[in-house]
Amino acid sequence: MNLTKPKDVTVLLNAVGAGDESAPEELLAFVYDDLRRLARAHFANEKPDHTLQPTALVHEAYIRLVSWENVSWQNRAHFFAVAANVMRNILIDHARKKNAQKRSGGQRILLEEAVGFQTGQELDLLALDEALQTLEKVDGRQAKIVELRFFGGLSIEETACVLKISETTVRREWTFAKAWFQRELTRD
Amino acid sequence: MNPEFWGKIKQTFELALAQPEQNRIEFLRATCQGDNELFEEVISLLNAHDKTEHLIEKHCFDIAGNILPSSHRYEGRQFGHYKIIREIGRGGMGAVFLAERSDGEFQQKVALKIIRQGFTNGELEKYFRRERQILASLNHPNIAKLLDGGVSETGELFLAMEFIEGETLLAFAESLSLGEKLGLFLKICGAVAYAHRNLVVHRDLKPSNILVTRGNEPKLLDFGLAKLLDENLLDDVTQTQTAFRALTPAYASPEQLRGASVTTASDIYSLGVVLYEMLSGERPFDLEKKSLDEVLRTITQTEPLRLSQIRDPKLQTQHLRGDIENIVAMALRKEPERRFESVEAFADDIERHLSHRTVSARPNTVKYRASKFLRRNKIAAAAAALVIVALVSGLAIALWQAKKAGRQRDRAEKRFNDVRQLSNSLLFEIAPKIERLNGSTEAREILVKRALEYLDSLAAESQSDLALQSELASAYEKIGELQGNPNKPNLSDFAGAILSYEKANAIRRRLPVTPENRRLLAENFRQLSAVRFIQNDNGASLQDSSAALKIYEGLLAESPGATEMQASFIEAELEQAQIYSANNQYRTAIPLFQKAVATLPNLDPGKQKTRALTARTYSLLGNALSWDNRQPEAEVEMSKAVLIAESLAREYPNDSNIQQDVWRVFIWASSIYEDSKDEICLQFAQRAVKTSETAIASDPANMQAKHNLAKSLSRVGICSVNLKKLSEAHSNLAQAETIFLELINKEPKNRIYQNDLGKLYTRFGDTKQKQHDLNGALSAFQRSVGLFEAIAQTDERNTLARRDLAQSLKSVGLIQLELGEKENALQSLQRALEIVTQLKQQNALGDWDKSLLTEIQTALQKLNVAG
Repeated sequence: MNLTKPKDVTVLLNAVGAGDESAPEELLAFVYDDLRRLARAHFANEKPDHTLQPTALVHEAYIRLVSWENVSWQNRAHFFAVAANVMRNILIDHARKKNAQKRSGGQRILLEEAVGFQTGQELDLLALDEALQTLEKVDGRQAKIVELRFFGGLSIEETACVLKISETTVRREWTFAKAWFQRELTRD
Repeated sequence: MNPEFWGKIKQTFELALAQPEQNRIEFLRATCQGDNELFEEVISLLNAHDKTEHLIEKHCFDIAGNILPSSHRYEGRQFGHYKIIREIGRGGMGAVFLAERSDGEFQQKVALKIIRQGFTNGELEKYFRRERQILASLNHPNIAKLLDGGVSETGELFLAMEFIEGETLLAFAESLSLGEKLGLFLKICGAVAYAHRNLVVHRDLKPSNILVTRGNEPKLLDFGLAKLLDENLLDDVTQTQTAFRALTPAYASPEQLRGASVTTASDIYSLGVVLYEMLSGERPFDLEKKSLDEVLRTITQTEPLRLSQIRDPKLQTQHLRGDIENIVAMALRKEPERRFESVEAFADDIERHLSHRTVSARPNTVKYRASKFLRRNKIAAAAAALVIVALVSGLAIALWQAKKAGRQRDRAEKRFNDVRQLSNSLLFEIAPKIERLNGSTEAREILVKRALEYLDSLAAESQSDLALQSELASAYEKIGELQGNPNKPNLSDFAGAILSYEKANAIRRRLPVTPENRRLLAENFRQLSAVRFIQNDNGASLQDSSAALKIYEGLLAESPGATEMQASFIEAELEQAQIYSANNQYRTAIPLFQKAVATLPNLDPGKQKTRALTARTYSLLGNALSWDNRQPEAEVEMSKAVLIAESLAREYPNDSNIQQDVWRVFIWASSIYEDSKDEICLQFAQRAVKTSETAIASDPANMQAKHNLAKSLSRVGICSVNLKKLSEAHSNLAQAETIFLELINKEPKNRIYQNDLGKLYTRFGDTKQKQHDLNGALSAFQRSVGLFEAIAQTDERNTLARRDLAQSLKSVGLIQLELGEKENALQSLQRALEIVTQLKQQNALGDWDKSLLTEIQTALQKLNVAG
């Protein structure tokens, strides 16, 4: 295998797994580029009844970038961890922009027309991010779990693997986090 | 909020949640003892927890749709000659608009596809134009024509296509009869076959890409666009491999999902999925709510339900039984080369069925005849191969190869045979010679790698040569053995071993169904099963083992007198019973052992192999009985095993295989006396130590013997603990630890060593505890928790590892309790409880383990009362 070949995520991932220190950063840059590109395409094109699915996007990026047979399960988890963080940034960026548009009033009606779906109780991404930042300060590990599960779509098992903790712990923390976010985000 | 208070909230929340709902408030009042802030926090969290659906549970995609921009701004805009009227749809590849040609020349409505992606360089633009030209040259009544394309003033790519007014395929097909559906599908095949002849692969065939017009004509949309847009999006013309953009996993072939080359065979697969759905209303695989890994695994590894197996009262599946379902199944085969060789062949089979002629598709289980066909039609096959090459690497290269092929054939054939000879000699002459050499690991690794490279290229070139294919399968198996046969010196590359065995398996299943080939296939399944067993993937191991047994059963039914076969059958059954045992399913295992014991006398009873097998069976049976709390019976069966083992040991002192069997009997024997007759337990353990020491003396490089020694020493340690000879115990356990660490160091991937070391640490813990060294005990148990946790995490099917984990956690918790570390104790015990409860729900607890649950509960109660 040739390490000098650029853009080979499979190699990078294995390097991350093997403890190569520069690899995570390179990986991040690479995943970031690709996810951005995908997200842009989706934001522009995806149909409303088939709304943007960040987890699907992350998976898509994964399939595009990684030859999965050559990557161990643990190293794949690294990929998703990085992707979760990237996805969070992308979504929050977009939410900010959208908020700005709303305030300036210009596109508001059109936007609401275009988004023809109901989610019942609506979740405010920016508020969520804010809450997540609060959580990061008191309980870093739980915040990480939420980021991986919510933005990265990682399963309990995968989350446990990325954070090197037991599934039981993840499950327990997740139960608490769900309740906490539910409360924080529905507070008047 | 400070982290300390946060921790308190979390802990109280968890405790309260563990209470029955009606007691929670009461419990909270008692726990908070006037701390109002804590009470408020937890009660509001409990209320939030009781909501049926949590906001962050929906993942972000449910809400992220808010961010979508409007598409209204496209309306009225001009793209080249076209003016947009309105949006008509959106898909993975872009938005589609109804547009009108507006340059006054002539009126034409088109479907305009806009891709918001500009060119980054001139090369790319050239490539885009070239591809577009190829697609525009496709001219078929059932293919929506690509009319035009270009770049807008604002840099967006657009494609103008024939505008089709019609219904989507599935909606249209719903009301059709079976015959009408097949007729419609044949037209679709015609269109795809036409494109394939023009070297265009669709790559994204799915029902939503097929419309049916009012004149009942199907029209295929987006031909070749997946590739065009894919390259475009990748910003890299050279990356022709795949990286597919249009991710529609439900219709994508296994090779597409793997990222391998996409060929005409991929379209055949997708057509198979489309037909499956047209006929049954269901897709072959249920991918709902599956994670990516599961999707990949499902599509690349599992078999879809046959059409006639679908249970749907509305569906008259009996009409689909036989030919039709065989045809669909053939299109859906995992291996591209085992599907129909072309879309024409696919269509031809359907036509044959419609006109009541015999079809070529057969169920997977019956002999696969395509290889024969290939042999008879070498030229046709070569041409077909060339078409595929052309699609993958470009027409120019293919033409070049075709021209050269004639001239170079003779030379190529010679090279082919040379390579064949070389690989055979590497694997079957050289490898066995260095197998047992100390330090030969690296050499063997290189050898395996080279041989694999040669073999892979041979396998690709020689699909039609049956003798060679069989040779290849044996070669792959040999490699698998070097990589990870647990019973021989191996490289501990179990994943690699599985791949090699699987390659051999795929080849063997293509070979003619002769008794010999079936026997070899069964053996292959057993090898696969054994490696998976080593990996602790008991579920998969069981499947392979069952496959082997099924083949043996068939063979024995045909020739009941074959004693060799019978011996193999019994061995395979024993292997299966061991998997059940490892899974804690002793009640399933015991009858199998008993059956084997009853059948063994039918074999040649004087033969040493039979005797060793008999001894092994008795010891396995004894062990299983003991675990199932049937101790008296266990001791009887075990004594039979020991009797045979002792005489074998005397008769064949230098036969390492026999000595291995003898050692195993001693170890099993020792284990069943643990806790009941510790003196006997110790005696057998010491005999096991002696047996393995003798083996090491005659071959110091024998890793297996070293592993045996470590296990024997730790068993001596265990018995000594029980006999209260603590210092002796400690020294034996320490010796064992040294050996295990050495083995793990040599083979860090081998989970067996880690498991054994984990077990050893629990024994250490026991000794320390008995010496009243609580801190020493705690650290030993914690080390075992780490090891078991690692194993349990890599294999969710491994219930045994989880049981061991729970056991160690319980020990850790009890010691923490004794040390006054209440919070830690609570955490450890709750985790233990959670695991054991889960195991219980899965019916994976033996009688032996049930006390574990009570112990944990008791400790927790104690803790709650005290806390």
